[in-house]
Amino acid sequence: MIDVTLLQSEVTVGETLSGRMTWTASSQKQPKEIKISMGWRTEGRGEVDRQTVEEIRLGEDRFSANGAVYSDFNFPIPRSGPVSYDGSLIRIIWEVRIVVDMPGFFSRDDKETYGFRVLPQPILSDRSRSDGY
Amino acid sequence: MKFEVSKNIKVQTLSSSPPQKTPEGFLLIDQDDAWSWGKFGFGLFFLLIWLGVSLPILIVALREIANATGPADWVGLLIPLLFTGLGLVGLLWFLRGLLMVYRIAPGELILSQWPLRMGETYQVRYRRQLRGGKRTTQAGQVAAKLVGYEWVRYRQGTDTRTDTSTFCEQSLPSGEVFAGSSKASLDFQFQIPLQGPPSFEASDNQIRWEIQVTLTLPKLVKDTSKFRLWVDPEVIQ
Repeated sequence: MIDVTLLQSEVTVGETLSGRMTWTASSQKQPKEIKISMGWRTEGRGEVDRQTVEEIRLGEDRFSANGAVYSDFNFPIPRSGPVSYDGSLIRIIWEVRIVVDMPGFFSRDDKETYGFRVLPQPILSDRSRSDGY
Repeated sequence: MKFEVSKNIKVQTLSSSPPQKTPEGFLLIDQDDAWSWGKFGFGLFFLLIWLGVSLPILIVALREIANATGPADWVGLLIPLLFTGLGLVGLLWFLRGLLMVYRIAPGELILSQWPLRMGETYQVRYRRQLRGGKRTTQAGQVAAKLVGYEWVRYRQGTDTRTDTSTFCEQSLPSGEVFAGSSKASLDFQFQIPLQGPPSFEASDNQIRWEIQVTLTLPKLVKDTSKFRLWVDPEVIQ
């Protein structure tokens, strides 16, 4: 079973998203690898665009005998964004995605996603920016 | 940390030409107004092939009607007439574009700052020069507007289609071009709305901001220049 706790539900570009992932085994099998990634994807009329911005891979050395795994993560959000958006044709969705890669050809990987919002950065009016003319 | 890019996503900057930094400010030029060997060369080649095929067929059809001893087959004339008509319309459109490039230089927009931010106000100068020392004989008009819209591309069967949805359209100050002028120019200011959204550019999904300027010079040109802006994910407070 996968559980993720995000310290923020909203984060500004340039800031860091922090959280903790916990995985507990529901069977005797140990996973080969757990991948924690953060990125964005689009939804709507257009073909899907997506980008993985940050990723952590947890190998077998991280798995304890009782089958529980936890990992803290701190993912910086790029200053260039994009920001979360909900429009007529396009939605931009940020999410943390957990994939637990189980061994065996017929085994199904565990997957969960957790959404959060990315906001633009507030800036104080900068009067020192010079006019071109 | 591993960085992974899916589906050939472009880096999130302007795919069209970024502005040139000049002593006047940040200069944007509407390349669609400019001469392009590719655009005009392809257009002329296509039209010559089109008319080269449809015109002889039309001439043959007309001769058959002229030489017919019985009732004339007017139906057989319709299709070559339609295709030749389309070709001639295309030729007129091509010549109009060529004439415009000959008469007037591409539109230019000079911005006080770049990139832009939400909630900030910018000073802008638009100008468009007549070529060859020409001057306007009648008064004309320049009208500008700020447009924000979503652009998407998708596949429907074997077809690739695009769609747009405008979320912001603001009329900006307009100006007059006096008779006897050698160029059109307009100074104005505009503000990117506080609520944005900021610009976004991926392969099949984009959020675009543009300044669109329509120049009307009677008996000379009526044309709209479009200048793509880039709005960062920053909001002025």
